[in-house]
Amino acid sequence: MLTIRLEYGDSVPLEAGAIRPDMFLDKTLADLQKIPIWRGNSTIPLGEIARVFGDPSTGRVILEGDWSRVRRLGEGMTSGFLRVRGPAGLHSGARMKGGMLQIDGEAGDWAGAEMTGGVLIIQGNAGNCLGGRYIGSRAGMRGGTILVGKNAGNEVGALMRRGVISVLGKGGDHAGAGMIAGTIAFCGGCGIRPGAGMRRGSILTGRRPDSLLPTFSKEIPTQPGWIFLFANHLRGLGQDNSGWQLLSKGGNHPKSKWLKSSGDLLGLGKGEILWPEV
Amino acid sequence: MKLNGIEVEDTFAEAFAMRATRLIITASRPVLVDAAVSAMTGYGTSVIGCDAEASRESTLDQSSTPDGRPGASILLFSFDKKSLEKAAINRVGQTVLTCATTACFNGLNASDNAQIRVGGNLRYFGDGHQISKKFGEKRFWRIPVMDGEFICEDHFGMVSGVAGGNLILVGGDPDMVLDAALSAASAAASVENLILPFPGGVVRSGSRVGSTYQKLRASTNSSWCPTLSNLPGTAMKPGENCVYELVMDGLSRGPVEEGMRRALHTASHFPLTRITAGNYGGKLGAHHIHLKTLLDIA
Repeated sequence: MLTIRLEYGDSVPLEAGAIRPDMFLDKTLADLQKIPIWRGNSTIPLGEIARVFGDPSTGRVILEGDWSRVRRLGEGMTSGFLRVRGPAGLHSGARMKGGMLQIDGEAGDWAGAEMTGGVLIIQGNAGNCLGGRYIGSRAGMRGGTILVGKNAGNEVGALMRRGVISVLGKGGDHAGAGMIAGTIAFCGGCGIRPGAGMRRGSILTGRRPDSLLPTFSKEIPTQPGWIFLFANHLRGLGQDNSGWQLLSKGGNHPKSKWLKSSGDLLGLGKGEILWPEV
Repeated sequence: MKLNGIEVEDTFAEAFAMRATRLIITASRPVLVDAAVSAMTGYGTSVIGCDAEASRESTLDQSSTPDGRPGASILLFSFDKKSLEKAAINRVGQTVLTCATTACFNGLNASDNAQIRVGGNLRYFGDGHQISKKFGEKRFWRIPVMDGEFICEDHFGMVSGVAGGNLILVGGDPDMVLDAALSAASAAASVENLILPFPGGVVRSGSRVGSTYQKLRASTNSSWCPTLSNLPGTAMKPGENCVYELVMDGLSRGPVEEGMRRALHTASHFPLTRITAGNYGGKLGAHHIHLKTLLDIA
């Protein structure tokens, strides 16, 4: 296991897209000290801002210290395990393709943006545009799984094409905006106007959204057996989804009852927003 | 050779390599699981005349099914990948999809190139209203039906199985031979990864390759028919009036051997005149399971 302990007190943010376990496998500690980290309009070697020790060949990397002002951690990683013991900055795990990125604290905006595979676990709160898309892109998240232990900001899963986002707490406004497919779940409910412009996909919320767009259909009762499969998938990844069982009559029980609204009827109209019947 | 005083002929069962898959069928009530399994495995005894050989492997409680409901696992065997896929699609589409509250899941892990696509083909029944859900590496299809949604996994794993393991039980009293056959079938059925595709696990119409009628691929095994035992070519000995065969299909050779072993030892406690096995001279099947290797208790 490799440990990188950040010793950086400056207020200028860093961009550390080079910190990803799959790129460390064949490198020595001396090589890692020289990895360029962007600071403003120039780079500095990693060794100048962090202590690096351990074995890089294991594919397991632990980041210690305050990484909240360091952007793009694990960006594009394809394999291995990267754990941030504390908060992480913007764009963490963006465009991930595989492996696992675990953030013990909070994550900044755009975490997991446009990721195509792997697992991103955020123990604390997640910022805006979680699993979202960058300006100009035709799709956001295209695969993989994002698990959030607390709350998430606005525009979770915007233009999401495939994959799973599960938030144990609350989600912000405009969740799943323009969603193409995939599954987003908010155990604690979400903000206003979820699913605006969604074509397909599913948004699960712990309670009826405060403001459901008028372009969504009248709610109908349903017993979605697939939610049990969904909950099992999350449990297999280690997420405590007992919160679902507290919802409604059994939550994720195969016979649990939910209400469903379909939309967005301004678009394809094959998306769905579901919440437990109480 | 003797086992518990019963003669066991020094011969072998000739079994064949076939493609196999496992399906997990669930429903809201056990009675519906049974109904779906019964329909799904019907007309699935021998690939001589059916599209696949199929039978219930085991009954599953709700803690061991993917969707937390009562269920059962089914093994399905056919000649090759293409025919197995076609049989699975047709059978699931006609017998599971149509049964109230059911769902159908893959029960085998296999590499990408050893998979058949079932849900991915049945989804078109949804007429555009079907919904895909991909959790991890598994994709499920939700097809709207009149009681909600039929959930079916996209791909099912496929392995190279072994089909046609067999035992032939011969005796004087037909009731006793039947008792022996049913008990032996029950013992074999307790082996995991194994099915006995014939009704009750017992075959009364053992067949041979070819026929005097050109259009038939197989015909009755006349040498084992007691009503023809007075004719030349009979395999029956004096005092032998009834023959039953057990046929077993397994996901690999091991379960077939174990099923045959259990069946052999169970049958040997009945006053049969002899126990033997069927083969084609060793020229057709890749797997030769010799009875002498099954005499010891594993």
